[in-house]
Amino acid sequence: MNRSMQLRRLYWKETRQLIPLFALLSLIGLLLQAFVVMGVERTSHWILFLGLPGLFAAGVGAMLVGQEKEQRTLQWLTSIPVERRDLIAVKYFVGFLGLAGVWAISFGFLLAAARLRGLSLDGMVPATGSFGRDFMLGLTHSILLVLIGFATAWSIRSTFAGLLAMVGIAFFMPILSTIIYALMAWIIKGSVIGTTFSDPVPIEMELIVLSLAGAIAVIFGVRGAYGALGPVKTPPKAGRTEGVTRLLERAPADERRIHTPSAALVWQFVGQNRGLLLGIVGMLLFAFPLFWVFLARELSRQPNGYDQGALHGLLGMMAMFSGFLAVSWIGMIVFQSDNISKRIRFLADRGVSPQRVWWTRHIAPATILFVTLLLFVGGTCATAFVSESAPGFIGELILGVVASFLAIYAFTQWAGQLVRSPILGAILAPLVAALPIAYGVFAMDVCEAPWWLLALSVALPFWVTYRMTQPWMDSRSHLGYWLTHLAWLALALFLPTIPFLYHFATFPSVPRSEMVKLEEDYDRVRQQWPFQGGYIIPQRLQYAQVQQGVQESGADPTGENVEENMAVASGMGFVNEELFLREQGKKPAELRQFTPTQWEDLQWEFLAFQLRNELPVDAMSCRDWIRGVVWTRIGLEEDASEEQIQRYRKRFDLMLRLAKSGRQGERLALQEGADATDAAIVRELQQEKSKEWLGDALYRRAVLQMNDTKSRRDARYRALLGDWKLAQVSGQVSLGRYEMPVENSKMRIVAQRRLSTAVWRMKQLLMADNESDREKSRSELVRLWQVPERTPGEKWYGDWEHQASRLAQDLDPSDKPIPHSTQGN
Amino acid sequence: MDANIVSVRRGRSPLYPWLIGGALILLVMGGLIGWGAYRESKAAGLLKERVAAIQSMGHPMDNAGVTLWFKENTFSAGTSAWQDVLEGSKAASHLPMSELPVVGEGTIPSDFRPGVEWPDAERVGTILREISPLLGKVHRANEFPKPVWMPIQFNGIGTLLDETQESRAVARFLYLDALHALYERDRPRAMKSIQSLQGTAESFDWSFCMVTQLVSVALNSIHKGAIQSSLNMDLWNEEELARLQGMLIAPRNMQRSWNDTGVGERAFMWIYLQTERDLGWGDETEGKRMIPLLSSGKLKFLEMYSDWFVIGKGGFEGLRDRSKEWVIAQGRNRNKPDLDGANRLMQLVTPAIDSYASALLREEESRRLLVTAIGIKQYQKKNQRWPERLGDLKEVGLESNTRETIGHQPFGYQVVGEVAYVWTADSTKELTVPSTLPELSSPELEDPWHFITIR
Repeated sequence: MNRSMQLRRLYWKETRQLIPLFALLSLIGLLLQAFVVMGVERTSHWILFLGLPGLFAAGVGAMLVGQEKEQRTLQWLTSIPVERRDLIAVKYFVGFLGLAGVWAISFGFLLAAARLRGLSLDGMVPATGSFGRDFMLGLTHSILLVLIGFATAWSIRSTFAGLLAMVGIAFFMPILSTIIYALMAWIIKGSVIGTTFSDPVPIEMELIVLSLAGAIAVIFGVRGAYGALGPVKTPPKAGRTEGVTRLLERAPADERRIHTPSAALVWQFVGQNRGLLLGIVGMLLFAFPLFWVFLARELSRQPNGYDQGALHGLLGMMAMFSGFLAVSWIGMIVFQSDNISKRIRFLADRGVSPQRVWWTRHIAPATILFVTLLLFVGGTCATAFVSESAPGFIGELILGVVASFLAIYAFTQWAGQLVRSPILGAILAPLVAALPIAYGVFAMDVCEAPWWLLALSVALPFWVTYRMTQPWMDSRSHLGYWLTHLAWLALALFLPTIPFLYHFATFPSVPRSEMVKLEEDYDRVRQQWPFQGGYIIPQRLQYAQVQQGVQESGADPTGENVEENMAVASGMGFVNEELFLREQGKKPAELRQFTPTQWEDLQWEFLAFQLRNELPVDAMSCRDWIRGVVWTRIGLEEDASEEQIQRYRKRFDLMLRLAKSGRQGERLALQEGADATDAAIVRELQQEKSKEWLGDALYRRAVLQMNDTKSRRDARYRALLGDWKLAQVSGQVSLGRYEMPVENSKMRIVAQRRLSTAVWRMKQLLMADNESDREKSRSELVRLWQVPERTPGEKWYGDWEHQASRLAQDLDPSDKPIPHSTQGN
Repeated sequence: MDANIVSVRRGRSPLYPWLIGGALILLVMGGLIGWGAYRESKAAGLLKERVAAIQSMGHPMDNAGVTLWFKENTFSAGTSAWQDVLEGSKAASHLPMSELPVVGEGTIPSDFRPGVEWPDAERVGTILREISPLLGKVHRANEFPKPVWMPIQFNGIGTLLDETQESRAVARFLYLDALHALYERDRPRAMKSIQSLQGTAESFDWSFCMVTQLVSVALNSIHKGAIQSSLNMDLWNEEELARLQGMLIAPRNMQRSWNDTGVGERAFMWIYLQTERDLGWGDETEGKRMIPLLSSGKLKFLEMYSDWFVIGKGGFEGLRDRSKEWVIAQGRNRNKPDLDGANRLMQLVTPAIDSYASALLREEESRRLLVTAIGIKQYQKKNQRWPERLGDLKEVGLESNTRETIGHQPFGYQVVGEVAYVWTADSTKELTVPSTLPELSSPELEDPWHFITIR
């Protein structure tokens, strides 16, 4: 076999070794990005984008070197006729190739997430970050991690110890950058405190430090590689293992007389994981105090206070990451450590019951977890108590952390039973841990999952591993085994979504036939009522506007193109005012001399002028006109002269025209304005002397107009259909200015169905002949809309309409309107 | 036999450390959970008792209760008349008044007296003639018993208070009328409007929440402002001065106002806490609550309101200190960690009790200063000379406690030529009353009631 062929085989072997890590990272990265798209705020995409290559970089050394050490294939490699240099180069090359691949995959996920969210790539970067800077740092960090990972994997005998060392070194890097930066500032400026530690370290500085560290890692790595691939060293004599090695690796069974199987199994577990357990406890003891310091600093910050600086953020990040990593590893080693060298087969062959194995694997890690959680709760409470500011969120924070840690433990112990490679397990642990957290946030945020179902989901993995311990001990890996796990996983994911899916499945909808009728009604109304134009907002004359309008309106000063100007103006702006004043033969300067009464008379003339446009009126803007009529009537109470009575009649008549014009509006909001105008008219009609002041004819006309329930109902229905269609076309969940609350996804998912059902209920309310049916539809409508005080149509058939009907009943029988129940639709 | 084996058999199994450790952990965790559950169950019991006790005192805890309570403490005889007034007041707002003083953006002259130039006088007169029907309605409405009942739809903190807001517009019309009447030396009209101002303030003196109370203080302030303006004009005779004095001589029943406001505010808050939809606090800034408010959390709210009533005891004296202590104590409570975010919620909804106390204190202090000013004028009318010192006012029936601040500082008093001045400093700002006539630009005189000119 020539060198080229040897190298090709070597490349292929190394690549195959990386495939599980590559595939699993890609899969989990995809799932996490998907959960984030569904329910978490967008900055998490960026963290995942940077984090995925970081995790690969952290694990690649262990996968390519540590695993070979564990499986003792490294010695075999040294025995084949391949240059050590080639062996080392191939491993490094494949490692970096894999890293490039993961960066590409991660970038692809980010692009897809950006597309799904409808954002640009820059839009995915947090406000405090920068695409170039963050990417450059992430890339350099990942390269450094690969180098450190190889260095520790080559140099340290235990793979887990190597991983722990790598995590420590990786953590130390940003601190090192900060310290060096601070030292430089001290040398240059003569001061450190209050300047450097509060500034972020410049990227150039970080890159220099990382490059130097990378160079050192290469030297150590290559030296370690040559040592590991060199002749086998003589093992140290028995009894000479000391210090850390002795602490990490001695077997407790040597020193204790254990004569019960359970005890033996527990101590055996502790013994085989002593190093890792100590490392994890160390990480937690490092993380918690760091978190408390971070929390104390956070709490001491004023509400809009100063920035705590780069070091503060680093403290928080390191505390959270190391705590998160430690707990994910605790869960992972529950079953994972028995996969090393197929130790579990030893227990299976000796007939140890799966139940006994299950709980003896759990007892030590669970104890560590619970003790550290207690420590966390105590320490965090103490930090909050001694803090001077208001930590009202502490309870929720503690609850969140405890629940998260339990969920992480539950799911990583499950993953520990599934992933056969301990190294792969260790690398995947943080990602597996992130899955339940991301899914939990998704379930709470999007599905509004109740806490007890989430708790059930967290408890389920324990039951699964309990049930599946026997097949795991038997090293089964047939399809049925994996499908069983998959089914349990599906159940765990499905459980929190049950209420959400039930809600979706059972939410009421409009019967098909009714939906068809609504569509037909809309088409019919469009044909009969093709009006698509604007509407006027009846303005009042203003001194300032009039004066300004003369100068700025740009209206035809000759007054010859009046019609054209009117069409353009549509009742808006100053043009109308100018044209009106010209028609009246008045100059703006004259208006200043007017008495309030003259001025008010002119206002009503102006209203009459505007109504001549014959466009529908936005009755919401009729408030001032309504007040004007009320005010005129109040004056009439004091002075019932003929002049005053005529004035009242004229204004009241204009109000009636306003109300009629308002009903032409094809929006619910406009109809609501017309309702307000009608209600004001009914109030006027109810005044003691209204008949006398209005005169018989006007009074009758007004009462009949107010009691014309059919026209009112048709107008409302027309507006309802118009707003409904508009909502369908625009995709908005609103009827005019009535917005249907869609505060959460439970509401969002059925929003259009809710809206259509509400429209149908409103139609039922409109068409109902009796008050009991109306009340039923009204309460259904309020229940659907969920905002009792802001439900469209809720005020239809209100008191004033009944009062209008009573006024009509008091009229001369010959004037009584036809009851609307006998009228056609 | 091997000695080691003997020792092991006699000793404990190596599994015991785990079992004991596990049991201890379970014990501690179980203890914590048990303690929490016990605490909540105890709080739930206490809460039930507390709510029952509150309701047994006739105090409301729901919308229906507040509706009934409001009806019991008001009079409906004048409801229709006042509804007419409020409708008229709304209707009058369409009149062109934006450039006028008091009701619009205009201003009144600084030394406002008959004879001084007032460019808006004629336009004000025209508008007042226009709104005279409305003013007539107000005067008539004031003949009914007070405070007046209105058909308010109570809905916790979402209760709409249109009537309260509109009452301010009514008061402004009256104030403008009083000023114009004073300017024209039309004493009967001025007196009528001042009386109606007082009547309006009393009619809308609703103590079911802090907002209505603050509006009531504002209405009283407008009333006092009209009287204060009139003292700059040497207008009133002795009988009229006595009537003005009579309007102001009785201080607000502060303890009752305070307690009633506490009762109403507590009911509103309780209604709010019972509404699950509102407890979501789902907006972006506050984040979502992980668990609903527990019984212990609700109990905290009720305890907060229990302390409210303690503050009112003791009247005006020490009110400021007591309210400040309350605010500090609430701040301390908020620092305590909790599970359900009740402390955080309290931080958001704690009523602005300090501002309310300050408003009441200012109102009382301004009342005393104005009563003293009227007393000075009464003395001058009676003796044809200004009193030499405020102590001389005993002759016109003014007790010493009316001639000083709530903090027992005597008001400042000085006569310059034909004009007398009486002044104080805002005691809520812990300022000392200057012993000599302060400069008009002095920071102590930033509010009008701190300085009264009497002619």
